[in-house]
Amino acid sequence: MRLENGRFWRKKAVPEAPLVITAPVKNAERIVAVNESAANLGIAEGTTLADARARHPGIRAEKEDARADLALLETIADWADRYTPLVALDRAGSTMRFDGPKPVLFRHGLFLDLTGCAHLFANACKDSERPCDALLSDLKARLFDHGFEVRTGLSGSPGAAWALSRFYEGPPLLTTEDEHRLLKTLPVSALRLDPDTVTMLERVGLKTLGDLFQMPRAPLAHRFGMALLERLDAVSNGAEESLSPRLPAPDLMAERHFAEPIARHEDVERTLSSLAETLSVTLTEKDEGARLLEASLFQSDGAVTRAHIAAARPLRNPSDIARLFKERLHETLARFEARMNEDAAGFDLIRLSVVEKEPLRAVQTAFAEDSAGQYAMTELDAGLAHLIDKLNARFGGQCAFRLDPGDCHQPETAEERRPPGAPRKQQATEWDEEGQTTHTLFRPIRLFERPEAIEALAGLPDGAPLRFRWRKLSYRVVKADGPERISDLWWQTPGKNGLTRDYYRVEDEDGRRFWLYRNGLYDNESDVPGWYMHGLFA
Amino acid sequence: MRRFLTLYEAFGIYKNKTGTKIIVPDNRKASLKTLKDRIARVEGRPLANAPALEGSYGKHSNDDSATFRFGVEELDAAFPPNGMPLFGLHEIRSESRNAGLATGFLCGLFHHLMERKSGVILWFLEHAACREDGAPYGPGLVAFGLSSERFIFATLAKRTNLLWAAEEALCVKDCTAIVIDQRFCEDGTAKAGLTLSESRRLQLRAEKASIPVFLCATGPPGPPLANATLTRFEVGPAPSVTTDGSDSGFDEGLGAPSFDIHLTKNRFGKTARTRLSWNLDHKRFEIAHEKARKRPLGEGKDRPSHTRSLVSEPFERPDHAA
Repeated sequence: MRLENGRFWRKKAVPEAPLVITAPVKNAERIVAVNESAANLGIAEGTTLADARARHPGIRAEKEDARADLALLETIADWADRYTPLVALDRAGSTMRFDGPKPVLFRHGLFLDLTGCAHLFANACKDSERPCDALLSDLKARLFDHGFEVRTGLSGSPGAAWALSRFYEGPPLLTTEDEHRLLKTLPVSALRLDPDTVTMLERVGLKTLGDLFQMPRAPLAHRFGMALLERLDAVSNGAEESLSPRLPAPDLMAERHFAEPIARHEDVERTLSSLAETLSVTLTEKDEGARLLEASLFQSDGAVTRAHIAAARPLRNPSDIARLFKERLHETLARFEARMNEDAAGFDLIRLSVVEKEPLRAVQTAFAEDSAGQYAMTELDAGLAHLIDKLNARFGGQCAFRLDPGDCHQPETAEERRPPGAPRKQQATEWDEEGQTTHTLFRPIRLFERPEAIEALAGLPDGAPLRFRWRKLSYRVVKADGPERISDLWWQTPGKNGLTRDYYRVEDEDGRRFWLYRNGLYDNESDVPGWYMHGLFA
Repeated sequence: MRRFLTLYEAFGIYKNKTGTKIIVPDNRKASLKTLKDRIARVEGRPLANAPALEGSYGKHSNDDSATFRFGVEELDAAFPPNGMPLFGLHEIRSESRNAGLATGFLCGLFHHLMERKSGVILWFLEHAACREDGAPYGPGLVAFGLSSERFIFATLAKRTNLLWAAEEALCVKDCTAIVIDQRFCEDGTAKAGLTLSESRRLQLRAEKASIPVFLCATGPPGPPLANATLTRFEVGPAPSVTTDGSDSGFDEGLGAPSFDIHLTKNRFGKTARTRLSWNLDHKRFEIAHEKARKRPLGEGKDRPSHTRSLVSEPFERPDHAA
C-alpha cells in the first residue's frame, strides 16, 4: 500500500478497492482482515480465500505480515508515550477469538496506564467531561487523523478496560455501578480466554459475564481451571494485574507541548535547556543527580526520536545537561532540518526524563586547593568527568573506559572495560605483578582483540615454536619461555571441553617479543593444533 | 666544511636530517654565539639560542615532573642539563609489529610522570590502531609497574576525532599526560601522522597547558612527514637482557624488555641513538649491554640443549618432586 500510495497513504482518502488480508489458518488460506469496501461486498473474516474469490473474482488479496503489524503497533506505542510513560503492548490479544462486530480490529491493542496523567488534560475538557475522557478523545482524534480506526475502553482495571474497548461503544461510563451493570451483559469472550474455553462455556449455556458472576466459584474452577477465575476477578473486582511497560518509567520527567510544531535546532536546544532547569529544581530538592537522561522528541506525524545521555557522575546543572544534549543531538537535528524542506513534520512535544539517578550532595566550594591526597578514581575530578561525558555524548555509548580486573583467568577476560566513574568491583581478583619477581614481563603490554592465526614450526610436537610466520613475514625464534598452560572455561560449557592453550613468550632475532599460543593439546584435544599470535611484549 | 661542523655543534637545534632550516649567520656573530654556547654548556645553563622553547622550558626546568632524565648518558647528552622536557608534543614512531616496544618505552616515561603527578593519563586509541597493533592490556601495564586505575582510555573511529579529543583533554586540569595512538599510511598514500598545521596547533596548546602529549604512531616504515613535534623517537627492537647484562639464551628465556631508541628529531639538542632496557626492579631505564649473541637455534647442533623437560610443567616454579 505504502509503495503505491506514498508515505501518508493512511491519511489520504484513497479510493478503496476491495482488499483482503489472508493468512494460513487451520490448513487453509483464510481471510483475516477486510477493508470497508470488501466488507460491503459481504466478505467475512474466516472464510477461505478460494471461497471469497469464487464469489468476487475482483478482490485483491495480500498476505499478512505479522512482523510489520507488530512494528506498526510499536510505533503507535511509542507515539502514545506522549500521554503516559506506561504503555504496554497487548501481546495476548492476537491469539484470542472474537465474536464482536469487527474481529480484526481487536487483535492489536495497547494498554495505557493513565493513573496520574489525566489531570494534564483538565484544561481541555468540557463541563460534563472527566479529564481522562478528554485525554481519550484527544487520543482518538489524533489517531483518526493518522488514518487509524481506534476503539477505547476506560476502566479501573486492565481486564475491564480490555472488555469495554472491544464490546462497548457508547458514552463514557461515569460510575462503577454503570460499568458493572454493563459488564454483565458482555459475552464470555470478553474475558480474554483461549477459544477452546470460550466454546466450552458456551456449550454449557454460560453466554454472558452475568451468567458467570452468578455461578458458585468452586465448580467453575474445577471445571475450567483457575485461569477463568483469575480473568473473572480481573474484570469484576479490579484484581491487581501487572502490565509490563515497553520502556522503563523514568523517575522524573518534564515536557513541553507546542501548538505549532517546531523544527529549528536552536528552538529544540532552548526547550531542552529550560526543561533541564525544571528538572534541576526537583533534583536539588531531593539532593540527587541524574546518571542517565533521555530526551524524546515527538514529531507531529507520529515518529519519535529518543536520545540518551549517560553521565560519568551525577548531574544536575542545567547548563551541563543542555550542553551534553547539544553534542548528542547535533547531527540528528542537522539531518532533520535538512529534511524539513521535503516532507518531515516538526516536533510538537519535547520531553526530558531522568531514567537513572543517584544521590548528589551539594558541595561547598573550597577556599583553597586540597593538598594532593590519594587519588580515588571513584570520585572523578569535575573537569575529567565533564570530558568523559563529552566523549561519550559525541562518540556514543561507552567510548571512554577504564581497565579493571575481571573475574576470569582467561587472558581476554582478565580485564574488563568499565565506565571510568563506576566504583571498583570488590570481589575481582587483582592482577599479580609477577614481573617483579621474574625480572621479565609476564603479560604482554598490547593484546590483540582477536588472536591472529600464524603458521608456526615447533622443534618438538609440544615444544616452543622455532620459527613462525605472521602477517606474511617470517620470524626466527631465538629465545622462548613457556609453556604457560591456560585452560578453557570448562565450567561454563559442561560436557563440551574447549581447547587448552599453551602460551609461549618468544623473542625473535631482532628482539621483538611476542605472546603466542598453541590452541589445544596433542593427542587428547586436537590432532593438528593451530598457533595464534595474541599479544606484543614491551 | 670545517666551519659548518663547528656551527653544527653550536646550533644543535638547527641541524638534523629531517630538520627544518639551517641558518648560517655571518662569521663574527657565529663565532660569538659559539663561544656563548660553550660557556652556557659548561655552566649547565640552557642554550642561549634555543628559540621559542626557551621560555617555557625555562619556566619548567626546575620542576622535576616536567623534565625527565633517562639516566643514560647517550640520551641525556642530547637534551638540556635538566633532561627531556615533559610538556608539548612528542612523537613516538614504530612499525606496527614493534608497537609493543613503543608502548613499553612510553610506559617508562609514564612511570616517571605518575610518580610525580597525581592525575590520570588519557589514552585515545584509533580503532584501526587497536585492530592492527592490539589494545593496551591491563595486566601488562600492571606487570610493567604502573597502576591501571590511573589510565582512562577512549576508542575513537577517526583521526580528526582523536585530535578533537586531545584538544578537549588539554583543558582538563587533572591530567598527567595524553596519548594519541594512531596508525598512519593506511593505503600507502595517506598522510603520515599529523600534518604540520595540526601538529603545530596541538603542540602550542600542549605547551601552554604544560601537559605532555605523546603521539604514538605506528605504520609501515618510511620517511616521516614534517611536523611540529618537539622530539621524535623511533623505537625498534633490541634483544632482551638478563640482569647481569649477559644475553639470555634460548633456555634461560626472555630477559628485561629492551628497546632500540633512535631520537631522530630533537628541538632541544642533538639526535641520538642507543639501546635501552627497562629495569623492572628499580623501575628505570638502563643502557642495554651490547653482548647480544645472535645465536639462532640449531646452529652447530642438531637441536637446542634443553635443560628443562619440554613437557609442560607449572610455569616458573621449582619442581620439588625432582
